[in-house]
Amino acid sequence: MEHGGIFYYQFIPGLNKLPMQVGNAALVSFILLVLFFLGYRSLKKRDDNIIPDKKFTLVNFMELIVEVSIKLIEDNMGKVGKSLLYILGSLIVFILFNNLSGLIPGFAPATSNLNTTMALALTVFFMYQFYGFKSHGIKYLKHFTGPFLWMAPLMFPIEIIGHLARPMSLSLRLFGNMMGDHIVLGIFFLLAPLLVPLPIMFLGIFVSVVQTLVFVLLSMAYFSGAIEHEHEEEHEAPVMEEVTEAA
Amino acid sequence: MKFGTPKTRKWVDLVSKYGTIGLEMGICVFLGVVFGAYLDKIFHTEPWLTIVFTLFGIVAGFKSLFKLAHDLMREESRKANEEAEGERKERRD
Repeated sequence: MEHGGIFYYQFIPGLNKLPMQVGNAALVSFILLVLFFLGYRSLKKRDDNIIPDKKFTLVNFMELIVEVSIKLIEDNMGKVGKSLLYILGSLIVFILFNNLSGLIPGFAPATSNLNTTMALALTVFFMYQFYGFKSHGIKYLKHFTGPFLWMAPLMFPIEIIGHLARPMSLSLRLFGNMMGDHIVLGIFFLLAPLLVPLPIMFLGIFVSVVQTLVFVLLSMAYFSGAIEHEHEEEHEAPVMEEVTEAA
Repeated sequence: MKFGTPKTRKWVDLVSKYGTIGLEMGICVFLGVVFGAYLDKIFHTEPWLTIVFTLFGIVAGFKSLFKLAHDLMREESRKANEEAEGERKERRD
């Protein structure tokens, strides 16, 4: 995937020797760091923390990001989600801003490279296995053995394949969507540079946001699947029959 | 696009849950075939382990589909339950 052209990260000493996706990810992360640092500083300066500013300031922007991430996590995971805010929130911010950076000329989004998305997906994979072992102990292995113990030799490879498919599908989905969007945009720019790529750029914003949400929602589903207790499902099963009879 | 309205959330839920199943089923079968072929190379048992692990992969794909359907049914029953609760409350009032 050798692009021609000039990218911003090439002008920064230290970053220009790195591969393209690493340089761009580092640049975007650095910009985010500066933004958050400025937001934090202006948040400290204010004496009134309750009434929001009248204009759309940096602090509002930071609060918007944090509020949306917390709401998203709490809606989907409940109270357990609060302990996962750091990893999931970082995923939201990193993926969203890397995706959106692809729309600015001079940036090549790091998420349109399989190495980056694979790294993110593998992080999620190892983290949720770790949290599973942390909350269940050695009993977490029961998730892999199926409903009965005599089925364990049969279910074990099936479950392993199912679990290994998760990081792969996560990374491939994000990579494919961002890469496809990038290529379509490039081709439209080649064909007709004026006004024609605009709908595709709008589509690019849409795809960036939706793919971020999809990645994070699926990670949350995996986390809660690893943390939740098995016997909760058995309690809920009879309720379902009651309803169908009543209907 | 307003964030967090019920309609948007439902839509995102649909995309994230049901849009992923095709990719996941395909990847499961692929992983099964690759594992089987790799193990065959190690143990010199040519076609057998490939066949067995391909079947495992197919079963794993269908298991994720089954789990999705199970979750969907649970969600729907929960919704129906809530609606029934609401109706009961209305009747009492």
